Amino acid sequence: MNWTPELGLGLLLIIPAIGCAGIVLAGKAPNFRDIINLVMGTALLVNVIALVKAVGAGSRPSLVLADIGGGLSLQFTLEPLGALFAALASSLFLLNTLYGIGYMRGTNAKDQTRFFAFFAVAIAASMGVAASGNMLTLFVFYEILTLSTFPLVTHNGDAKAKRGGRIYLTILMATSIGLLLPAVIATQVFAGSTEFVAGGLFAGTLGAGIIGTLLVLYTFGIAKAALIPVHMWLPNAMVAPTPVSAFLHAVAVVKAGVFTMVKIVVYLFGMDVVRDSAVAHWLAILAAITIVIGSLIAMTKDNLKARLAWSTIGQLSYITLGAMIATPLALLGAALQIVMHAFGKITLFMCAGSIYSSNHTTEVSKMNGMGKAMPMVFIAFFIGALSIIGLPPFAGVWPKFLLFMGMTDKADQWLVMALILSSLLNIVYLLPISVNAFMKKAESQENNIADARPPVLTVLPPVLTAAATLVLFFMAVPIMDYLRPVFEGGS
Amino acid sequence: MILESIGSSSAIGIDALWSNAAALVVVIPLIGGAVAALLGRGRIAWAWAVLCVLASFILSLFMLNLVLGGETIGYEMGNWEVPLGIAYQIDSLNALIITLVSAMALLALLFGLPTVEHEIDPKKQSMFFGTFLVCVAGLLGMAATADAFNVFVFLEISSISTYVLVAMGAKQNRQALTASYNYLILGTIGATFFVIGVGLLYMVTGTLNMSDISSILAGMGDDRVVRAAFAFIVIGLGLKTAMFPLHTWLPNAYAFSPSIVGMFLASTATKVALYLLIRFLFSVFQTGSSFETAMFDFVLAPMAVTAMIVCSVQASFQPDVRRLLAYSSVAQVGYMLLGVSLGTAAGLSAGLLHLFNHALMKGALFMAIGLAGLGLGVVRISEMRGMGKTMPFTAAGLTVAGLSLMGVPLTAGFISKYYLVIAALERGWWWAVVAIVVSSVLAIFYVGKMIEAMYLHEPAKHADGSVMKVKTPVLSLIALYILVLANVWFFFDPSLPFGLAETAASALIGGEGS
Amino acid sequence: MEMSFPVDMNLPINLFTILDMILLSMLVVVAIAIVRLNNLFSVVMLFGVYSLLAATWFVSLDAVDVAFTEAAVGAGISTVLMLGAMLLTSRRALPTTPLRHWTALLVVTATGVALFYATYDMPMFGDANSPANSYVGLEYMTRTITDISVPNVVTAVLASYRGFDTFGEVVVVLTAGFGVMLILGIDGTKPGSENSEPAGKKEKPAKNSSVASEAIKSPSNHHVVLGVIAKMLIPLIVVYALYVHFHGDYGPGGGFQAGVIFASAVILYSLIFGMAETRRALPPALVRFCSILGVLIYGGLGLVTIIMGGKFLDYNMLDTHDTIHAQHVGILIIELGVLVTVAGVMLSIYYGFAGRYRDLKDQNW
Repeated sequence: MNWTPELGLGLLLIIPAIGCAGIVLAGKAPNFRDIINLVMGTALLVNVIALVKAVGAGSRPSLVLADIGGGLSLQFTLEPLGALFAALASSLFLLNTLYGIGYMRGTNAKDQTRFFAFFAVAIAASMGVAASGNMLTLFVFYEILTLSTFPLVTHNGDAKAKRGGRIYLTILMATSIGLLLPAVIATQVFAGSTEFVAGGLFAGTLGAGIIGTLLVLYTFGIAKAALIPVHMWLPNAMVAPTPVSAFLHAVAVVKAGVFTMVKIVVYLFGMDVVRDSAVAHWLAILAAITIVIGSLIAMTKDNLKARLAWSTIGQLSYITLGAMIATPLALLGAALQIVMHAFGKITLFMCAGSIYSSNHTTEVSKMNGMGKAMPMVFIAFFIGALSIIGLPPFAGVWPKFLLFMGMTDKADQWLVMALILSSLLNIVYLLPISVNAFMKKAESQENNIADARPPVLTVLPPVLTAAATLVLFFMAVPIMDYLRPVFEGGS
Repeated sequence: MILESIGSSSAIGIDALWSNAAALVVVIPLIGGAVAALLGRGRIAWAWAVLCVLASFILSLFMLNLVLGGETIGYEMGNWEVPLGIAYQIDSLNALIITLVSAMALLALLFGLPTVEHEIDPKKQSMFFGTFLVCVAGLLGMAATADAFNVFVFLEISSISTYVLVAMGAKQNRQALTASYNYLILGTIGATFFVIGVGLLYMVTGTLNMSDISSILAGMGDDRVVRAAFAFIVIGLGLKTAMFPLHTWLPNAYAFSPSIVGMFLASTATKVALYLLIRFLFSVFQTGSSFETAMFDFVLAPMAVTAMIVCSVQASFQPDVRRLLAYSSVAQVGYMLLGVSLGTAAGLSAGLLHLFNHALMKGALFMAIGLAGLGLGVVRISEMRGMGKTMPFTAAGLTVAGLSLMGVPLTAGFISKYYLVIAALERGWWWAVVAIVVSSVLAIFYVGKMIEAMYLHEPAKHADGSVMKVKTPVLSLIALYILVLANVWFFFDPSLPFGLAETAASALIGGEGS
Repeated sequence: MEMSFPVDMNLPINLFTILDMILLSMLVVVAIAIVRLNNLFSVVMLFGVYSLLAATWFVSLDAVDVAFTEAAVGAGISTVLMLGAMLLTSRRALPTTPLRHWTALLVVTATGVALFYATYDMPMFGDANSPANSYVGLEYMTRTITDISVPNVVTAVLASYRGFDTFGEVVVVLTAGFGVMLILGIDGTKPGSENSEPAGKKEKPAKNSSVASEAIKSPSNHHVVLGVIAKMLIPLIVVYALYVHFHGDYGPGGGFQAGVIFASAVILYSLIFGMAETRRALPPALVRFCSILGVLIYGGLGLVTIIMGGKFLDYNMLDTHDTIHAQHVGILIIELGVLVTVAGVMLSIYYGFAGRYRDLKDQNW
């Protein structure tokens, strides 16, 4: 049987399904299990790369999973935005699997089989989100993603993990069923379908009031995008083991949220409609506020993962902001931010995990002087931080640049101030960590044990992703070209 | 010669089975119930009950198939023509209900043997199964008949057997007796109101056949007797449907009855009463009359919405699992009544679809709770701790059914809520949509409480610290999973229930124009 | 000064109307008394009175069959059963909360108002042209002779035209019996209670056990007059039951009433000669079997007609050459079923209550 893009769409779900079954069956033989895991990740990545190429060549493969009747169906259709998200998720998944194996073994975590099995379900769900051809399908996979990551978040099983997990699940489920689902159904009612169509479904058919209401329902319904005030799940989910935080909260879960945000603006509402909406303007302001507040709170956190989590809240709102500004350039910036931030942030998370797995340090204040013990980790951290801050020649600069450019189209240029302020704050709370690790002396002796070297498998992946932020700086133009068909319709 | 006659008579026998399907579907469990009580041992009576219900189920499938082919099955008891005698009539509206009831009865029996052996005195088991069969037959008879008074007779059969069945929970909890007594008092008031209404209808039409009544009413102008009859019948059936605020009997009746009874009642009893309500509202009384429209808009719809919200809130505060599910049932009945009160074909078919789906989800939930009660003695949510570890299959089934109750896509519950929202928006009832959303969010809370207890809390442990593993009876688990899978299946392919509901709704509402 | 008289002068104000009014007002008085009383014994007795009054009223409305049933069931057997229930619980009702009073009053008032509201458009009582008397009702009257040929149209309707309803009602009765048996104990005995002992062992009562309580349970000199009278009465009651049963085609009566009357004969026997004796004469298992047997006879006939190629309860199948004969046979068989089930269930219920009697002294009455 020859590979076709349609088959590739099916494989997006089939490969993780087989992998998940394999992981469960091989649960008694950890080595074999981990090999299955890696093979699955590789196969998925190969498949996604083939799909990305096909989409780049102009193909828009489509696959109906189920036709429910009454105008409802579950359907995959891949377009450049989704292809990019799929490529991002699958490539980082492979790296993260590598890292996860090292981390879980290094920390002697329990129930590793269950852990990796749910990981496989989560990646399948992310693939489903990426490839969804309509909003209903996307919603389904969005929910599966929530449910499948819940056991990962609570993996440690202690009271803290359960409390965090409860907040995680409650906020994500309540917003999605209470706000997002009604929005999806309303879309179906008003537009007759929820299909993602270039130029949007609503253009010229609905009044401003309904558009505004729907926009609010969607924006807060997609709690995974972590806009204030539906952001509280994110810091609470940091109770998870670091590979989970790294992958799910730098890549899959949060990015699924903001990806959905971009997707609805481009394909459901239509960029012109959002641009003309007053409600979108207010939401953009809220996003800007979130950016600043996220960064401010991140500064106050001594726990490294908490600091990164709050930083993520701020960084995600760049994307929401871009989506609400809804000029082609701003949206392009938002789309790029999905990718670039993912690489930067996963680097930081992996480094945090490496530090923890080698000497169980979680507080920033105790990391002084650790650079000598694990130079590679802190160099990678430094590069990741530079990329997040948005300095050339690292990938993170492009989205911010495009957002600046996009916003000058509009009257609310002062929102630029938020971005600048945020970048300054980024410098304040991210750079000193690695600088101090190298420059300062350790306060207490025990933290500076030279032989507490992190496992190789937990060092290699962050180094690779850090290198990737450098490479992506130069790759930005091809990526923009790749995405061009998406935004050409709107401008 | 003799062989020939036997051969031909057995051929007649099979033919007779099919040609009398409409009657036999009810009569087999009815007579079977009497026989079951004679069978001394519980297990034999159980096997007999399974046989009877299986026969009913097969006959109902046979009829469903005919109805799907566009037929309407009529059957005249004693071969007396309408309106002299009593007739059964199976069309797209009740074929689904009959199949639902017989299927649920079958699943309940498959599920229930271990719980009955646990909960019922061994000497009483055979009579218990007999009463159960009578109850099944009563519900089937209510659904099948086309005669208003015959409805009352079978309403009584099902009600009285239900009171008995509920009271049989007394061995586990003496409160079952008061629950049953309250149900008896309110149920009897409901039945009395209903029969007063039927009597009034007979007074002005001189007939008891429903379609006959309907055609005579169509030729009459506005009439106070008819109005009074309408009120009596709606309240009488409303009590049986657990229409807010006439639902007070339901939570205790469901909570304290034996597991098999709670499960069966939750998935059928209110459904059949609601079916009758629909039957009377749309095919006996004149739809579209200003009186009925006013009743729909100003009585039925507000009550439905209130139930959806108030009872969901009540469910959220219940520590007792089965009371939680029972309050949720009242709320869900609100959804169905909302669909009915819309008075449009779309609303009615959405209501009917939700009726069907709700039977699936509540059946599964009560089964899972029954198994939890059997294995861990679960009564309260706090006792469900760690079920994800001790009873993983039951807990997983409960979770899926719970998601269906919330109305999450990939489960049947989504489909019916979706159609309900569409139907409500079609009439411009925004407030109803808001109520659906609010009630769904509340469902997240109360279902979430169960899921949280099952997965987020540590199970009770043995002295040596090992997790207690609970064995679940395989047959019960199979029954549970049939329902759980049905909850998923009818998301992907709702065409069977929805097609029937649509046909039925357009037949009922379409009749208004002619 | 002329007073205009608001009553339509064509209205037939005859003796019956006056009688009806008297009866109805008595019904109201009795009903209010029942509501107001706390003494359950009086309440039960008044229930009997109420039923008798209602039965009398039904007679005056020419509903003789209904009246008969009301008298036999309402005034007869249910009084006995309610007394039995009372003996198991308490002699006085607990005071109810005011809220309940008001709720009940509200419901009753609303019902009454609704009924009054409806009366304005109701057909006149006894109007020959009213729908109830002109459509199906009239058809029953005219067709019974040719279809079934029994003089009592009520029997024709109950047993044949709407025989399926009657089957349902018989099942209702059986279900009620099931209920009592399941809740109070399957054999009419409470496990562990003194009555669960075999009858033979009851001969040596403890010295301090009251004589009166023995009177209820076993033969005793105490009630010798009653014993003699009862022995004379019981055969007559049974014969009367059979008369009512077999005469149902011609006059008021039928299986329901006959079953109840038969049961009352047995109850009388047990009151005089004690439960132990009664159990020996009619073992609970037999009674239970009978209550089920009746339904089987009735339903079985329906199945037989199906096997013979007809529809459920199509009596004509029993004799295709002479359908009138077939109808008669069919009605007779199902009436037998009704009789057996009703008698069996009434006795089962009675056994259920009687098996739980506490010690009862004469002065308690």
